[in-house]
Amino acid sequence: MKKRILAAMLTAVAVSMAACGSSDSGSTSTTTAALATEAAAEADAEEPEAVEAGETTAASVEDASSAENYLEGKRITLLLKSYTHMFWVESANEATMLAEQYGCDLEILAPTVANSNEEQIELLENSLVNPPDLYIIVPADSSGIAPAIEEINSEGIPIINVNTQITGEGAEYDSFVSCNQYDLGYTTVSAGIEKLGEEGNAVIIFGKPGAETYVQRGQGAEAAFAEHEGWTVLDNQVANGDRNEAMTVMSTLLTKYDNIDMVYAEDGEMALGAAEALKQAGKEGEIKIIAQNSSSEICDAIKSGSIYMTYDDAAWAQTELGFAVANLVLGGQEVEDTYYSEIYLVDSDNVAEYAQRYE
Amino acid sequence: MKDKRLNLRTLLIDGSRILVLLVMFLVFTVFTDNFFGLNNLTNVSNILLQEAPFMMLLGLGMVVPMIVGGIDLSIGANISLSSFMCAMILKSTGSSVGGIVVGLAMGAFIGLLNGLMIAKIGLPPFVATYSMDWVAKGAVLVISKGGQITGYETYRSIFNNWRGTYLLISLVVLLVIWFACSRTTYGRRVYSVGSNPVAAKLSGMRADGIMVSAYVIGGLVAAVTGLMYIAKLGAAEPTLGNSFTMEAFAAALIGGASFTGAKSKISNALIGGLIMVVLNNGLIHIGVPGIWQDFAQGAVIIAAIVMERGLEKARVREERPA
Repeated sequence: MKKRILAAMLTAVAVSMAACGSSDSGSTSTTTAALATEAAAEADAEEPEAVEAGETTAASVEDASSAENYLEGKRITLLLKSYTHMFWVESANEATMLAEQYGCDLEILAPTVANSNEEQIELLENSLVNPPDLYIIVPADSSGIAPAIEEINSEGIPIINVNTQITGEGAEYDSFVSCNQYDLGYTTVSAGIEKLGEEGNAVIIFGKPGAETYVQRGQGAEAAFAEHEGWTVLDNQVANGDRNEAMTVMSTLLTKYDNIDMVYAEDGEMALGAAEALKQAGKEGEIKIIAQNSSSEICDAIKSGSIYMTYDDAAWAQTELGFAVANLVLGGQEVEDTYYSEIYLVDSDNVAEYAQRYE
Repeated sequence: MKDKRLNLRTLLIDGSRILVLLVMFLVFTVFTDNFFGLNNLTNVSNILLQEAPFMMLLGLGMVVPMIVGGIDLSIGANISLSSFMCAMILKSTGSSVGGIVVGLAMGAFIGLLNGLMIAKIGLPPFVATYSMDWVAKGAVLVISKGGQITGYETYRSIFNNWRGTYLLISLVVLLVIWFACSRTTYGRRVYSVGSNPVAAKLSGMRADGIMVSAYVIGGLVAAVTGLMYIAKLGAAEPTLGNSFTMEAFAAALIGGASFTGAKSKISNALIGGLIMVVLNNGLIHIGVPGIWQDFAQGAVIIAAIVMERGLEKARVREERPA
């Protein structure tokens, strides 16, 4: 597992260094990328735990990373869903670091009310007064963002769509970068079932109705449960990606059912809320919580046993890949329609190493 | 005989919300397995000890400004900011008392600013408190840099060592404010200002000061709610209160609070808070899918407002001389 994480780190370094670069740094990155590939191959042969989800794999990432630096001196506007969710804080931090490495000017925008489509549209419209060279956009609402995207399209500014796919009619983007959310939900639940056995009862704490990311994860999770006849989904309740709501919902579910074996929480915040509810009900560790995302707090919860495992869709990896694809687009190179980033299993076996990211 | 009928009718009108609460309780008890049973008090104790205290205080934070004819749309942001400030002190000094004092002071300060903008500058309550909502939201984002604060277990143990602590605190706060508003000269003045601020001024009252004090009390209640929330959750988040303003508003309205000043009562917060948590909890127990719950809650809020209007008309008819 150590090697797997090392491989991931090296890949990250490779992407960053290649991006920084002149032709010299490009050659350095090729070497580092090769090291990363070797390490990954060796690790995969022993213990294949990271999941390459989707149609475009890590090879494409390395292709993207081996390009020259076309971002240097350019202005990039990154639109996130919020300033406060742990996932987006990590993404913003990663983007700031990458902008420094690429030598580009980065402006990060996010609505003050998390996931507000109206605010996102307003921010994009305002940014068009002094338009950047390229947008990296994470929409809060897949189709609702369309009016602003159309305005950007009419200005001819390239868009890299990250994490949540833009689906609005007439809204176009150059490439979509994400992990495959359906696969993420499917893989997480499948892994949980594999660890817990073929029979049990589960509850799902759903993120936010209408938000494509959560919807796809939920569909993946339900498909995984449906494949295992021994598992019953007792309930599926909404907690809007909010820790407090998840805690209240979980407390109520605990009084409704006395036979819950597994809780699938669609993101880390909700998993932490559910964990707190279990703790207060004296059932910490007894009912297994499986989650998405990672953070230092989630790693601590896995260490203490209050969260059983998580699959990290790795904000840093998605952001990194987004920049790499942006680099290709500004270099006038052809890009794939979709790039999928990897997801990473974090459980009691590897949490100590994974947590080092947050130190 | 007629008087007795009249009294029963008046009683039903005045106690209609308690009736609604009892009917909801009965329906959920009859139609679900684990909502309530004499041998199964876990859920009800959960509602009373872990959920209702918060919703009652949210409602109270809204009801007090409503008594003086106002509204406070900054409750949610106040909760986020005051609780985050408290957590910062807890983390940096380890002093629970220091954290509580700073949190309460921040809540009162936001209330004070709201009150001054409304009473002294003359801004409409909606504009003043909505603007304050943005200011406080922005401030907590800047202070927190989007991050969270965790790991203040000594502080949490003050609240979590005994399950009844949250209920006790909220009842004490409710009782103190109820006493101040209904049994003291100050309370009569608050209602006078809510009823007719101009007349209150002409009669020699310091109407502005009383109005400001109502917002300060509302701010303090919001801060107490925030301080309890971070103890319960184990994390102070800059977005903690984002959805609370609407919940506070809903709890106040469902409890019978009125937009026309001086008609609201402190008990509205208690009843409204209880109806909200029983509804939220009962909908899960009765098996309403998660995606339908917002719809169901919204429908109940509309029904409550319509009922409030209907009851108001009925009350006027009852009071009209024959």
